[in-house]
Amino acid sequence: MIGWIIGIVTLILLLFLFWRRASAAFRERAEAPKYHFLESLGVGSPHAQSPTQPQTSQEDKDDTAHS
Amino acid sequence: MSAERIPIQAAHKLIRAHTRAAFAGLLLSAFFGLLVSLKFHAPTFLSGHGWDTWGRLRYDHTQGILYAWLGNAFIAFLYYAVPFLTRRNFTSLRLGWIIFWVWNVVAVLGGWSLVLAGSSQPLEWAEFPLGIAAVIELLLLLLIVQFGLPFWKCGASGLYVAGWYLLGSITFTALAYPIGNLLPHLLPGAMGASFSGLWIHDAVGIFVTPFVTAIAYFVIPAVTRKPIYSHFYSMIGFWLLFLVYPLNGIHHYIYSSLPMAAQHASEIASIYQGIDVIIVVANLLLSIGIAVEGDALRDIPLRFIWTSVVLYLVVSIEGSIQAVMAFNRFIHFTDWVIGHSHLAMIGFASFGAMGGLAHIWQRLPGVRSSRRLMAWSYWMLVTGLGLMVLDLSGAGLIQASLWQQHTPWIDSVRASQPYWILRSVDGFLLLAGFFAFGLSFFTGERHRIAEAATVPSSPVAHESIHPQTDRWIGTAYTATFGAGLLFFLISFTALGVLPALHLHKIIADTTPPGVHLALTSAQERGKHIYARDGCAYCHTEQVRFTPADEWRFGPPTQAWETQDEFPQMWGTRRIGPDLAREAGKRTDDWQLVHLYNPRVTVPDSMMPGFVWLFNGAADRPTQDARDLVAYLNTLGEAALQANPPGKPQPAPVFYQIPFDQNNFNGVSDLDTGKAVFKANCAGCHGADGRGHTEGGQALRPVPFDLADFRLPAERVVRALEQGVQGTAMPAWNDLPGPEFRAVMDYVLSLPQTPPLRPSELLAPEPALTEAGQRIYAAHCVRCHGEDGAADGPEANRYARPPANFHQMQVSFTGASFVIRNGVPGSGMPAWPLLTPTEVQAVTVYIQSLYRQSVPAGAAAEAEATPQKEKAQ
Repeated sequence: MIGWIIGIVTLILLLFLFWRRASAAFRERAEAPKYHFLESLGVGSPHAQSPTQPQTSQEDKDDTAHS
Repeated sequence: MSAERIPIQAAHKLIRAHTRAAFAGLLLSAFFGLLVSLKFHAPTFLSGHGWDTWGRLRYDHTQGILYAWLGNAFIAFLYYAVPFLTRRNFTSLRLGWIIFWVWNVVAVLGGWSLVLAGSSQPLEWAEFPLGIAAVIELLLLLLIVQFGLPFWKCGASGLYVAGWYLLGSITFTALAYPIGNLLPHLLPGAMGASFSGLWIHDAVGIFVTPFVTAIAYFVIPAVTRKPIYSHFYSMIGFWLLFLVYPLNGIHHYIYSSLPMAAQHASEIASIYQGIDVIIVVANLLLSIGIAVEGDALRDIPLRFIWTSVVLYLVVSIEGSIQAVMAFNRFIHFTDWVIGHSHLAMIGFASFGAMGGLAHIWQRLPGVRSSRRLMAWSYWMLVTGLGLMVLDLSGAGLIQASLWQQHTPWIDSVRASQPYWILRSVDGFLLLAGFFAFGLSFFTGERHRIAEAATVPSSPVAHESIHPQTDRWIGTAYTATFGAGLLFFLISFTALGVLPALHLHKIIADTTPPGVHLALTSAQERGKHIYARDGCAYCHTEQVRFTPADEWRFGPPTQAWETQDEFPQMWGTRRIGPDLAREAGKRTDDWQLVHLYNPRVTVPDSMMPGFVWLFNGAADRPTQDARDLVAYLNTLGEAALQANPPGKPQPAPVFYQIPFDQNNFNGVSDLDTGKAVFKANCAGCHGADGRGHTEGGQALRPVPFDLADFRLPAERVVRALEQGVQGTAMPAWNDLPGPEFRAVMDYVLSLPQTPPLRPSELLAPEPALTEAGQRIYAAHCVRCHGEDGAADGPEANRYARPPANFHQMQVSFTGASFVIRNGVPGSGMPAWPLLTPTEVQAVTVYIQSLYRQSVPAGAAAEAEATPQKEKAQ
């Protein structure tokens, strides 16, 4: 039973990973909360990127550099 | 603009109140911990009352850290963070104050006081009594009302990961809390242990860990002003934590009688959990690393957070390794695990909570804070913690190594003493560090922040450009959270309910017919005393299925043995030996003397004395002390009924070498023997072997005056190897061979009381012998037998067999004392009417019965008859 639980957990997370890999929109929206949070903290200035605009996170830059 | 933002100043007073309560809780809890640590090497320090005994302070130490310190710190953080995360305010200010006062006055102060007064539960991380546990569960539900509602309203797809962790923590903790607190009262022994294991781990994994991780995910971007490295991977870490963590619990009971499938499952889940932590920590460290770009962590709160994150990785990997059965077999129950728990609760949890509190405090208007003092506190705490963890890990390895060897248990206590002293020094440093940290909040410059922070009031401050994706993500996240709840229930089923059902069947199938498990009312009262005073926190009640345990303590504890134990007291730590097989090992008077002052029977013991259970002396126990001993005598009694011990084999040939007064192995052997005697035997027999010690005189019968009673080597071997039936003399068969031989030689070398000089004889020796034989036949033969071989018709009436004069040469001094005074605690009465001449006569006759050497088989036979059998 425990094997099943761990297997299903892994499957759910793999589904998330594949979805993220396949969909640029998912990739972008999955990262959006961290920008919204910065805005809540008052970090979003007139010069900062809007959370609604496409943004490039460090993670995306790393992905690009390694691909 | 201000109309569009939520002022969070409403919560400032609550944040300050919870922060102050958190510091008070931290200092008091750490102080309790320091007292507990000091008692390891100064066991008489603060030991006159029940309230200041080791066990009760230990309960308050851990519960204080969990609720008084971390609980208050987390709630303070919630008041600050929730508006930023949800763009909504918490539910009610009035509810906030109700939670504050009930949490601190009823739960914390009430719980502490009741524990010190003797009302508690012997359950790890659930020590507050059931009434307080009910209040805490109510408070956890109120926290959901206070903070959960804003989360539920703000939508899943846009919720930042810190919010997910906070929401998960308050939801899952409320679900998990009753498992560890209530169920062990409803399910006994092994079945209860499986649920206790779940809560032991969930207290850390579902209450503490998510809060601290949330603090890290909140503070890092707030300080660096940059987004975290990957929000997606942060969510992967979040789901894994809640889906896998509850499966870990049973790894606290590896090699027990719980179903092996459940043990393996917890082992695998623990390893999987380590993988999750690697993902979380990598993401957090990348988030910090990118932001500071190698620069030193100048922000002190962030420095605390960084340390917490790094130690989260260390402690989690360590935890995964500890759960692996091969390593667990070696390290479980040792100080290594205590080092691990301190690394978790100070290095990870407290450093994270301190970083979070310091961060929010510095953003409150009008408060003081001293950066310099906080920086000092950081280094004091890092140094103290580093030394403590290294110290306890080292102690754990030493203990584990000694427990694998055939050495007396007390050797591991002796070897641990330097480590325990260093631990107290580290504890002082930690307490000073905590004090400096708290002081840094109330000294230094006052903040010049004019206004309180505000949060945008609009839940969605912009229009989504991917509404469909948002819907999908929101649905997926919500479904996964629902799956988390479902998985929690499944884990509860898989690691609690199913093992319990399985155990129920095993117990029904394996309980031997006719064994008596129910406790009498006196034994029940003794069990209550055992539980309230924390005995289970030093002595386990479970012999594990490992060779080392079986050799040292006896047959492994089977599930059926504890089927009437509500709640279970298996324990998770061994400072003293396991007690699951205590029945029949010791006499009641040994137990009483040991309880009154453990060091009179075990000179190097660090066990506290339980003097409040006595009326001023070891031989004046209260009913409570007698009840406690009655309970101790039940431990393993059922197993003894089911499988009576066989007769021991004759002593190994090595030990049967006759003692030769003129042929010692050398002076060094006697020196070793003297040292062994002093360390292990002097408590009862005295350093000179005369038995005139406080402990010895309180025992019944009192120990031999070794100068007055000469024993042949074989008899000494047998006494050391098997103990002496019906007396407090325990077996010393765990002494290594050379030490065993050395102490035997030393005992045999002790100076003897010289025989009577001819001028002291009251009549010619042949006449005395003849008269002595007549007196012996009249008064002694019924017990001691016709020729003094302890085989008289009434010899079996007494638990302590009569003296066998073939194997014991008594001096005149010793014999006359015994004849005139009897031997309290045995069947030997006083014979005050015998004249001095008659006493001398019977002594001379008895001495004539002594044989220098005893056949090994005869000695074994004499000592082997089980005590109970004799008593009947």
